[in-house]
Amino acid sequence: MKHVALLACLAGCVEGISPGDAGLGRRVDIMRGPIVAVVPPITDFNGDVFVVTGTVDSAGSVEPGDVYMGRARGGWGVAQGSTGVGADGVGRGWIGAIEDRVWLWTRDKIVEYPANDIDALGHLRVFDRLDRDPQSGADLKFESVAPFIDRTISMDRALAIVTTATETRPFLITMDLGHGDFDINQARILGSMPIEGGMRALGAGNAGDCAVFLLANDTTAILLFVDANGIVGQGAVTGMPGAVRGEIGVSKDGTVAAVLADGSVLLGDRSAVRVVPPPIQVRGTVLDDDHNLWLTAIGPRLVPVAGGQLGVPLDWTSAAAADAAIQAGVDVVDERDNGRITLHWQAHNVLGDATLVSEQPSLPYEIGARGWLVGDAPINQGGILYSNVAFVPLGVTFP
Amino acid sequence: MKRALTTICLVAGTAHAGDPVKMQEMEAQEDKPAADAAKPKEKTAEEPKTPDDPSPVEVSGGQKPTIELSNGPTKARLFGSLGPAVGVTYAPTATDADRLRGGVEGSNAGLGLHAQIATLSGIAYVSVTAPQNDNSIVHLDRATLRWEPFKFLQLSAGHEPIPLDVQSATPMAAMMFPQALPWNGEFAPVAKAGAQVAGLHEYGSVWVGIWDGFAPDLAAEIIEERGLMGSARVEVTPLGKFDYDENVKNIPLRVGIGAGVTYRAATGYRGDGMANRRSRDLRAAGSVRVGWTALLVEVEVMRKQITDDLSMRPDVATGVYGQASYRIKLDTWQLVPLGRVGTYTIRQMSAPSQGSSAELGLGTIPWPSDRLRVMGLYQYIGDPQLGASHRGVLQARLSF
Repeated sequence: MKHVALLACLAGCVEGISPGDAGLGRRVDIMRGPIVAVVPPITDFNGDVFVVTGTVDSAGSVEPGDVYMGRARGGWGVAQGSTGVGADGVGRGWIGAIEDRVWLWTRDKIVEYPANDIDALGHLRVFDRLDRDPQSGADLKFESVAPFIDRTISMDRALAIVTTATETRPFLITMDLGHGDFDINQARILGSMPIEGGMRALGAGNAGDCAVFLLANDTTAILLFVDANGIVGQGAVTGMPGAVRGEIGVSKDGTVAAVLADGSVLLGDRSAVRVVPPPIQVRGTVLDDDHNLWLTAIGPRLVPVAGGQLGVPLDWTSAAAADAAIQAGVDVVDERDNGRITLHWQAHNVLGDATLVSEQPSLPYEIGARGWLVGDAPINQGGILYSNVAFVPLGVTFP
Repeated sequence: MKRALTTICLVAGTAHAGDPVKMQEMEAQEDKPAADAAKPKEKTAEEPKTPDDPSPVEVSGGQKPTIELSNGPTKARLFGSLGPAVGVTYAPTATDADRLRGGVEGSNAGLGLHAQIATLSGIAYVSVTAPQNDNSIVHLDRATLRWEPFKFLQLSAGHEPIPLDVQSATPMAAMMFPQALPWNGEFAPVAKAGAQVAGLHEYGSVWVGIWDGFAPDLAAEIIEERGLMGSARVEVTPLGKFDYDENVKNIPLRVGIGAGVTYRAATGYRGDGMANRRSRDLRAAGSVRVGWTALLVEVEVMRKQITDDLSMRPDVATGVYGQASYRIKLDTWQLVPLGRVGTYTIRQMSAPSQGSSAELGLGTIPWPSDRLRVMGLYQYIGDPQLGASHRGVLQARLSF
């Protein structure tokens, strides 16, 4: 029995990355710019890593990029230019992940990236979804897509607000995300509902059991809670909000918060929200592993949000320690040419505004760690900076 | 070559098929040696097992064979089972088309062969399950060669379930439930082949094995993973021998306290042969079983944790379940209520998600020989990702 107890102890003693530490990095590619992406990496349930790039140009605009996939078992694949072209081809955000695939949305289309579909040359197969209305053939524009996947035995569904060239009203649609088993011509919109009153989508979020959209016209705004079967709730909005930066955050206690384009904050609960000034300049929302809601700020700092109220800003010590850790040196695995070489980079942040701070929330890699992008010392070629970029899990806790 | 078949037993004839009276008579007789078949003998299903006539529970569930060939020290026994079933699944969160589905998914058939030459024996058991997505599934449960130089020592090699947990250690042919725990696959390791040493004693048993080809699920990947897996299971039976057999009846109080562990250190290789990843896979299980007369109760905890030096992202899962079955003897037939509940959490270190299952069934065994049983089972399966589904299954199983 002593051995059984020892075994039970060993079995319970798996440790992850310590707060403030950097895990093992994995080199993605050489990329242009001091900031190479604005959407943080996502990890599917099997541990495959997906990175969408989007260089910020000199005017501050994000350019379309590529999507890289690093398998949990090793090796990388790339889908070059898969997000699209022009301003509408910029990867806006991840819809979510399941066991072995993820979905990205741009204003032009939904793109599915399966982790198990990569050829010998490292090309990652992608499935474009719904760049046109399957019924009318009209060009679809995704105004907002909720980072929420409603899973059933039958299918995985997502919700979006779309507009078409032939219809002035936007539509709330429920779509079948598919599983790589049908092409764009067979993509399905499962249901659609016109949105009247000149309302337009300002942002979206994941409320845990449903999606949430912020809609507004010139005089009124509402918060709409929707699942794949229809509207499940509605919240009143006091004040006129602008567009949402990143995502609308909803905590486990029902607190709702979002950072708006003018820097103000939408704050409240599922029944009513209001526009308020933040105590400090904030960048976006993030949920911790326990589904508590926070606002992130450069520093790095955090503003707790609970009970429909903003708390006192706090120093985010583990994020600061993680930033120091990557600058002090991080081990990075270079898997080019089917090999495995471990390098040591004195790295720096190349994603968002600062390490773990961006408009889009950092996404969990494991409990207590978030996936992020870092770069090695940049090389100046003709006035353009290039860096080797790596995916790194960063150990982080919330105060 | 002169071959003398000293004994040939063929019991399940077609002449009496469909005649319950004749079938009962046949089954009452099939437990006797052929030479004594003509002598009147009290009909009983609880004949004591004699040491020189072991019933291999791995392929027959402890029943005597329908066909037995022997030639001196050489014996061959053939067993089979047919289990037609109908089932209905209701998935409330599914779309209209998938919400209510029926079919014969629970149907299966099994065929087992046991051959013995002195202390050397071979066992094979194959099952075929009903079509799913137009494809029937042929499952080789076990195909092993076993050498038993002493009564307390067995050495075996071949393909068989790794006895990490009670569900894996219980042979398919010896299950009272129509199927194993629905989510056992989340924890139970699978191997292509291996070798195992078993030390058997009245008051405890030990199994130690080494295995190859750990269910890699790498079909679509360009990475090959290699690594041997070691396994060990200890079962303490302080009140006497207690087999992994759900078909208990008329046994004195028996207790089995068991623990199992498997460990595999593997290396992943890229296409050019370079090693790129090392992983460690540890699985453990602890169980308590209690059997008394016709009651069997099992409780088990299972744990899985896989780590590797590339993703550095542990895959950890924990599950627990309990099951019970009881035979209520009513004259010559029996009623068998059975139930099993369990819960498990997957991806505990990355994206935790909880699943559960509950099964409640009632079976009847109309004849004393156990060769026919009809089982009705309700299953609730709470998938960690896809939501709940409810399933009703009615299965008849005829063993021969």
